[in-house]
Amino acid sequence: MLTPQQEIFHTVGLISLFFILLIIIIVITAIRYHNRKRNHIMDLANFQNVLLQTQMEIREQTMQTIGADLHDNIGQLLSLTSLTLNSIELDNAEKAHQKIEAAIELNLKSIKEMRLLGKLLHGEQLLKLGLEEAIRHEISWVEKSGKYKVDYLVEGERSAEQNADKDLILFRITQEILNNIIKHSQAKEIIIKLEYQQPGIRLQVIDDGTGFNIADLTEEQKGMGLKNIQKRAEIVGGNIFIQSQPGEGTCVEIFIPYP
Amino acid sequence: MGFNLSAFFNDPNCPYYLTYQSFIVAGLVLSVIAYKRGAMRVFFLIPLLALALLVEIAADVTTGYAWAYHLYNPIEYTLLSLYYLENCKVLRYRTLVKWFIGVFIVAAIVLSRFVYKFSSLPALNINIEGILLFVMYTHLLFSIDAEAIIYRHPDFWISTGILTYFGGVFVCFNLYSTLLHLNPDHTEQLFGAVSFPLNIILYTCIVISQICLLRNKKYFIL
Repeated sequence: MLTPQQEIFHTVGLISLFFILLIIIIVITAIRYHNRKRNHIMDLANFQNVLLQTQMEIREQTMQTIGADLHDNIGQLLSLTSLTLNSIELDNAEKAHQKIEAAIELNLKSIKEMRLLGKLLHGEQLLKLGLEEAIRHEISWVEKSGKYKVDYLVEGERSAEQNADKDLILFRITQEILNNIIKHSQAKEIIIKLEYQQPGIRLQVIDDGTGFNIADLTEEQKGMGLKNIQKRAEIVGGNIFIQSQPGEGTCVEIFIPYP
Repeated sequence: MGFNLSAFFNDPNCPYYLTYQSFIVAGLVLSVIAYKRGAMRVFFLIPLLALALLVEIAADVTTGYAWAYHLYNPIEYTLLSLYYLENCKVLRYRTLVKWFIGVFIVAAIVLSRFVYKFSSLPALNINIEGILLFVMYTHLLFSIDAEAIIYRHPDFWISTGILTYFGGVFVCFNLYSTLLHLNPDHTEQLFGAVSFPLNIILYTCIVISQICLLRNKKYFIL
């Protein structure tokens, strides 16, 4: 049994202990708060880096597309126009008229193609029209090669809240998946499904190509495209699921929360 | 007031006093080096540490030294507030702290003159000072530059030292004075066990903060 005096001493001891604990708690909380703030800043810097890299890659891809199109399409059209005009014989008025008509038509086609290229040059402005339109535009270039049949489905209504940075990253992911299909899959049919859901956007890209066994991919092979796609999806808080089997095509599904 | 040097060396707590006074000297020397190298933020720490050393020496070797604490207390509060102001970026808090410096000096003089008559230890002044500094340095602790590593930041150590010291002093002055009437011997032991390490913690933290400062070039104007 404690005497009243001893009880007071114990109480004082407990209060002192409480104060010591209070100071320890304040310091630990400050350290944790600081670390959280530091991590947040680092994440932000990392995100900015990825965003910058994405913008550069989109530009690079655009330049590649333009280069290829100038060589394979507009270049050919202009060569054909030149050949047609060169072959005109002025003493045969009817034939000359037909060839001039054909040259005009080829010229108009070249102008149309040039306009399309002009639009492509403003890649970032393309995204201002919306992610949906930007993807549609990208698909039109894939379809132009004549090797692929692309089905593009858009489901749901986009909410008013948008996020241009996430749009840019999702657009780049789509470009990268399409690049992988063109380079490796030997697919004939591609289905792209963009689904607006209440908390985000789900993108599904399915092809009927050769497919692959995910477990068999070496680190180097993964590093080429899949890691980039995964890294980009993660940086905007998204998830990625890949389903593929040799000979059974590939399905890449990405969910990114918005805004 | 009179000198009593032999009493100081015969005091069983003499090693403790010498230990923490050497920490004050170490902190002072490091602050001077940092200031000479261009770390302007230690400008207010140098007079503070020099004054703390003088007051502690006066308290050790003289009798009737309480007046020194009455003088030291408002100066200590002012210098620590100015150090906080050097590192606080929130305009509203800066204005508030500037006002409080004047208010506290007036309050401390009034309390010293009319309550303590410059004769006994100014417990109330120290408590008010402690509460205000506790709030200021908690804020400073939470506003350390997020890009820095917290353990290498001088403000982390200074804030931790001040929170520990003034938190402890607050407990000592408020609770132990009431216990003194009940059992003086027991209270003195308890007081010693709690208060003696406080000074050592405070000045150790100041020394560590100055080491962190000297090791990091970004605090210097080169």
